[in-house]
Amino acid sequence: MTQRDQDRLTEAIQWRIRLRDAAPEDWEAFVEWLEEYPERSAAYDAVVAAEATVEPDMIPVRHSPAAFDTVTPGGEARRRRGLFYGSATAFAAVAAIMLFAFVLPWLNATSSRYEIATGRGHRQLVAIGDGSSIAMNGDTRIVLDRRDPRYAELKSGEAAFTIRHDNAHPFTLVAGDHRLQDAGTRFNVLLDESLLSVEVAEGAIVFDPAASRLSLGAGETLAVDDARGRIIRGRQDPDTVSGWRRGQLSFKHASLAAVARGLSRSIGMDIKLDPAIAERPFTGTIRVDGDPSATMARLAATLDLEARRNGAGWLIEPSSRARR
Amino acid sequence: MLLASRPALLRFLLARRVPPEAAEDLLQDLFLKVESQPIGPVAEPRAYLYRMLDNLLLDNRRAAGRRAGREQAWMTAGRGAALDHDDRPSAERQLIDRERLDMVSAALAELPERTLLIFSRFRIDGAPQKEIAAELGISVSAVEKHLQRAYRTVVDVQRRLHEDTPAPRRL
Repeated sequence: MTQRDQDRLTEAIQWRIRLRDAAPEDWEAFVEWLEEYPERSAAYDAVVAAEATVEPDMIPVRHSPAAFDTVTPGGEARRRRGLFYGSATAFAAVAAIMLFAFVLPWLNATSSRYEIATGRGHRQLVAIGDGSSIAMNGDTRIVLDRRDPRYAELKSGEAAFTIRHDNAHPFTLVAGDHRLQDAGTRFNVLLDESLLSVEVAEGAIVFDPAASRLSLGAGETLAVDDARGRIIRGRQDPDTVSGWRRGQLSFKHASLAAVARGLSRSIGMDIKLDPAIAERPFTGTIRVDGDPSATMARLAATLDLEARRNGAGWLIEPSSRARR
Repeated sequence: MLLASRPALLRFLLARRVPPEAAEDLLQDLFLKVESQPIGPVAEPRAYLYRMLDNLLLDNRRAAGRRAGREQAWMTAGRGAALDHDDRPSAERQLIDRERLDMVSAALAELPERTLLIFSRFRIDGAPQKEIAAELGISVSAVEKHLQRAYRTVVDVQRRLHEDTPAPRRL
């Protein structure tokens, strides 16, 4: 790429930024800039195309404690969630602007561990050094170690891990009573009450390296049910792993209660179930990137259940026909 | 208002390398859109029209890029940036797309905290530069510098990806 191309891109970037909130005169000046050289229009297109690749959960928040210095621990996640969905003008506190995740000092003040948590319906990408990252789904808690970037603990919820492999320092994830060790990989982990579910999209991981030493490759899954002492291996198309990042929740033989928790995590609303149907099994994929009301209506119709608003959330119950 | 703006809007489209017939169609679409949706009072109606038209054009190009899978056919005159000129099967393309997204994230992760904060406010929350400047107690031109750096990062990743397509597979 020549210096001229570089300059053209730089100018196109300037225009793209300026035009977002531009006056009519700016647009006219932009037209004149374009008319001067025909290649400029393509440069502008390139900038727009690049801009379009940036999605909310791709802008990382550093996990360095300094990044969170100004954030008050506790209670913040809920408040910020409201702000995030509210109008931009509602932003008052500069410190609270974009950190949907908050950090609680780990119990032991001298420890180097600390926790990052997301509120329901909130996602957060956390960069953990050397190009590795953790994409957190909503309602998820993760513990990181300030001194050891190759360690993470999933306390609850769901996250997608993209880990650069380093033979000398394998990455270890603790989830419930289990350990996962990467061998250069992308994988998704869900810890939902006593159920641990691992899906590998790329590379390989070793499950419980000190005990069972199960090795999972791309396209392999593991469902660990500690309450029942069961471990089930399965397969999944690697392309569908971490579907929640693309607005798709997939379930296989999950209880409706687990489905409801998954939905809450993603759409950020409290979803309650009539206890009579909580254990019903569900297998399928739910799209959650649209309007929550439509999602709930579709789901209820598919299952022959009824979904209705319940305060700020939803209640799913047997349909009135069935109850009668 | 619409009629009075027509020549200026047409000139904009031609400057954006849209062939004349397609430009007429786009203006038609724009006018239909403006008439069908009740718009509240807009501070700068002319700027609003430009912006709407710019978005309309970008949507169009994106759709055309997807449809054609190569250089947009209807932009005959322009050597427009190919958003996506890829004939590989969709599964592999998806994989590359995901890799591409991971690369963007990784590149952004290298930027200073403040730059990311400003970028996020601007791009994700849609906050105007003036507002961000006020929040952070810095000048608008300082905000713009941060934004330029973030945009440059994203553009550079895209360019690297384009230059060595097919994208190198990791592992």
